[in-house]
Amino acid sequence: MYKLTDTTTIIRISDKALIPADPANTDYANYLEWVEAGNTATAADAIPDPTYQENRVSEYPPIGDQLDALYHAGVFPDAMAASIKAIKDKYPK
Amino acid sequence: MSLILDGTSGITNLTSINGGQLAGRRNIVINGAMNVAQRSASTTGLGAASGYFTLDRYRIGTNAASAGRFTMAQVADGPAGFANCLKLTVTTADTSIAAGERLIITQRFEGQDLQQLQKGTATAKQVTVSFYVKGNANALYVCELFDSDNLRSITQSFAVTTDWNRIELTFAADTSDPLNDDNGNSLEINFWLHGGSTFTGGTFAVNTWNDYTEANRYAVADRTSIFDATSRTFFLTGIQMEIGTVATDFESRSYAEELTLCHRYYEKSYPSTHKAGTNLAHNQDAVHMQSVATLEDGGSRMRMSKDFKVSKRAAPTVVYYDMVSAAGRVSTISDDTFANGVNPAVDGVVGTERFMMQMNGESPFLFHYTAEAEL
Repeated sequence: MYKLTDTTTIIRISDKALIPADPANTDYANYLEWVEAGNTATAADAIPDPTYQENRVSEYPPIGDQLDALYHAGVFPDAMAASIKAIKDKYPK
Repeated sequence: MSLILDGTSGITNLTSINGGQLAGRRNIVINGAMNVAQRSASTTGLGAASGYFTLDRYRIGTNAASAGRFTMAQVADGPAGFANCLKLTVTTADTSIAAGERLIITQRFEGQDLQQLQKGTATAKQVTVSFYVKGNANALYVCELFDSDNLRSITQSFAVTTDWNRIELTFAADTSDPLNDDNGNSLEINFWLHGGSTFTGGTFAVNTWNDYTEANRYAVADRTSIFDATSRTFFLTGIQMEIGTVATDFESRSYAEELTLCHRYYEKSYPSTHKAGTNLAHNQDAVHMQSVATLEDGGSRMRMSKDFKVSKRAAPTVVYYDMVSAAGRVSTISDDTFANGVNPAVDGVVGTERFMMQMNGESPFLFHYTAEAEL
């Protein structure tokens, strides 16, 4: 009838309602009565471990830093490099 | 009727200024003119369970499963000056009434909104409740004020005819037991329309506050059971509860004001004309979460928070829906193509001001929601 989450929020399975742990919430009061009657909520879903892609994304340098490194390494096409240089010249340090 | 001015009560018998309502906010009832129905304009097959089904702030109360069934609807009917009313239409009669059966229409009030009644003090105020009713035939029902903090009750009966009539009931002041000054349910207006012997087996007390005795609450002689025939109807609108002994003209408020007051207890993201769970062909009112560049928790979750339209009475129960009405699901969007029925896998947390949704992955997602913090 109810399922736990990894927060204090309870899920009512019948309509998947999120019920906050607020004693003034009538649905939470009903949940507490249900537990007091000897019932036990279903365990929370396990949070999946991050994938290797997600781990990499979280630790890669910012995209801007990566592009700047490529520019300074001189690997951009001539037209793109010229366009970037023109902007740098327009707004010098 | 003459205007009376004295040093104790001030001006009394002043029922109108310039033919309109008196100045200032007087009506404690929310949605008294039955103009706001966020959940639905009509719900059929009611009677088996308690809850809020159509018009905002009006709760249907049952106690034991009755065979009686009815439709609750907001209908375009009313006395002069009212465009809408609450209508109950019995669809299944129940003449074999079990002891614990009852049917009441209730509006519940927070104690912090009732301190002006001075209940439980030597200067407690009288309260006048007025409303318009009619039915398919003559009937006799009961209006009750129920003090939920202290389990005290006061009752008066009222008659219904086939014409719209305004009922005006002044309830005695209660110098015993103050109401809590908090956001809990302190007082109820109950309209009793049906009751078994649990509620009718005692002695009906007219306009006297007493510690609650269940058997007295609907014990009025010649009472009607709305479930006595499928032809039964009950129409109700223009409910006003105000301090004092005079039923003043109904205090009309704008739809926007009433809707905002109702939002403290229930709100939805759907357009006002669509009930929750509607399969919408458009989504301009949906909550839309765009993908973010930096993801939480090592990139496994995306989070968003949505402010409620008004602060809620308590942290509400939230149900979210995808674009095709599936509860507990969201829709994702990619290249203008929806994917519905997506399980957010990680849900949310809810406060009184806003709620947070979490989901795995990076896809932008959309959803509708309802948030309920009723008493």
